[in-house]
Amino acid sequence: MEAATAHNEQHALALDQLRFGWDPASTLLHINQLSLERGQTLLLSGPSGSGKSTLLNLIGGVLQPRSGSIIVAGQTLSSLSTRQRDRFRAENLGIIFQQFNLLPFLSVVDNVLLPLQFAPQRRAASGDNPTQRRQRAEYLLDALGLQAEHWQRPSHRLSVGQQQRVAAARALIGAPALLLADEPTSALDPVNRDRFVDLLLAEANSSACAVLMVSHDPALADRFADQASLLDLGSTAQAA
Amino acid sequence: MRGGLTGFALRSLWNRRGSVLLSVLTLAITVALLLMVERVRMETREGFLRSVSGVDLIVGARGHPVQLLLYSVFRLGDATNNLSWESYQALAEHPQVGWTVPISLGDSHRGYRVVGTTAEYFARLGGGDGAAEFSAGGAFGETFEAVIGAEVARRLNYSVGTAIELAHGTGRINLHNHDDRPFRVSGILAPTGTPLDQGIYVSLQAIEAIHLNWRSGTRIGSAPDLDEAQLAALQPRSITAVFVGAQRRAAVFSLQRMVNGYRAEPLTGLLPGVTMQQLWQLTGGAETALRFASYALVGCALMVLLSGLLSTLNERRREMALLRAVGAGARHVFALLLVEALLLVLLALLLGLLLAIVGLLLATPWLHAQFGIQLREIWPGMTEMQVLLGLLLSGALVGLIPAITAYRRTLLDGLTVDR
Repeated sequence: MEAATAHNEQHALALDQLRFGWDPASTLLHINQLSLERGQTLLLSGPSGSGKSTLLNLIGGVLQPRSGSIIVAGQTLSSLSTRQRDRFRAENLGIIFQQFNLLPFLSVVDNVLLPLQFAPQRRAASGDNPTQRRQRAEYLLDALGLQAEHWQRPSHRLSVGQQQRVAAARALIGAPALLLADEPTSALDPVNRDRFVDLLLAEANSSACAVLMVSHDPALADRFADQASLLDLGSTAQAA
Repeated sequence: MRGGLTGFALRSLWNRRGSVLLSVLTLAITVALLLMVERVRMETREGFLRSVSGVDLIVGARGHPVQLLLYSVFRLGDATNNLSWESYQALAEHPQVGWTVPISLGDSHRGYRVVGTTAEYFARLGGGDGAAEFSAGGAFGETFEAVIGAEVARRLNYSVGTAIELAHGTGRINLHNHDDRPFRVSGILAPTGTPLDQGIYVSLQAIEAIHLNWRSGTRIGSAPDLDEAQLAALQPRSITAVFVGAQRRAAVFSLQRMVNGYRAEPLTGLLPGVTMQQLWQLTGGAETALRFASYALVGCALMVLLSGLLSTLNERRREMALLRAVGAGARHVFALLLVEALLLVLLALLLGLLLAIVGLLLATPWLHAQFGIQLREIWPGMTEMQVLLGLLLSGALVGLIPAITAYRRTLLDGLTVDR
């Protein structure tokens, strides 16, 4: 699949005139223009109900926009079939949720390795054989501040902060083009939050991965290169 | 995830083993029950057929063929009428008749029926394809000798040489004993799993001899002392039934017609296979009910399994969303759920098969002692394999339900579970 290999494209993410709504009369999400280059970081704020999970599903290729275009890693999503979008998501996106990020029946390391099951290119990028890939997962866990003693534990025995580090390692393994994080720090105390975001951004930067984080927390603002409000993205452009 | 899908499903199931194991056990137990019912049913039928294999025609006094079959072969109930020795001789000398084995019933020993017959009985009604085998001793030679079936020997702990007294009538407790004429056990038959095992066999002359001083069912005085030559000359006036082998198989039907239209005496001739079918039609209702009940139980257990799978789907929505987020398609979610259900059903079937085999092994002595059913084959045959295959397919169909549900739900949920 040629489309999935477009890692060298300038844009990790480009949204243009994006509109989404189940009902044509009401628009749930409206973004005129939004773009992220590889390695760039953006903090997106927005109140509950402003369409954050809709945006996540649109970029993930699970939902289709009513109008406008979504380009991820140089690939226009609407030109891909459903199957291709699933594969494309596996290869190009790392996603961190607010909570419940791990599969309880897999070990910590196996949770990190999970996306590689669906993404042959990321698998190849993270190591030539299972041992190398395992080492890569352990390297990322270590870089994100999770000590080796936790690596073989069942994931449900970890604290929320530790679970988020595992989720970050999973999102970054195999160097996808774009990392989407949906309020990943909302359950963390300030000290852990800052450490987590710093390590996450540093590791993303080292693999030239663009980061789009959704969060209400203004304390995080100065750690990101850019900031925007989901509400403004629609109305600002309309006013302009 | 193609290669890893099964392993993935296994790990997920193992994580929920507590709740899953219970429904698997339920299914396994019902499957075992079904397999055991099928096996016992088949073995019973086969045992029935075995007990008359080689016999072409059974002749008795006029009556219902099923009743004649029951008392002559299975020693159940009593004959209402006998047939005369003259009729028997006419039959035995008929050109189309190959061999005959007469039997005379009516006496018993501690609940086991006494069969007065000829030594040819052991050659013709061996309970299998050929002659009966003796595990000890041999056929009766002198008049007051008896051959006993394997079960009689085992239950009453008799051996060759043991002296036994016969009782008049077939009740378990009997006031009228032929205690003036004790018999000596001359041989013990090898077990066959047929009614052969439950009989005591003496010569027709012996039956006559012990009834010499009997009139209308009571004993008058004591039996006259006869020497062996006089005893051998005793001829029965009537017998209970005759097993007949035809000269040629094709002659069986004309023989039956001849018997049923016999002028001198009203007789009934039955074809064992045909009458066995009639008997099964009579018992078929209970049999069908039992089978239906065991299939219904398996159906219930599948429903238990299904409700277990469906009830966890809601808790697992996050798991599915997570899988979608790391790149799984809705079809992967579908396949995962289906594979999970199939693994559970497969496990339950294997467990059920194991339980059935263990159950049959344990039940064999009891079934034999209680009902005379001998299970010759305990390992599953073609029929069981077909049943298991059918159950696996039903399991797959049941597994489709949670798989489709999860598939549709995951399309709605996408990568996030908000509600």
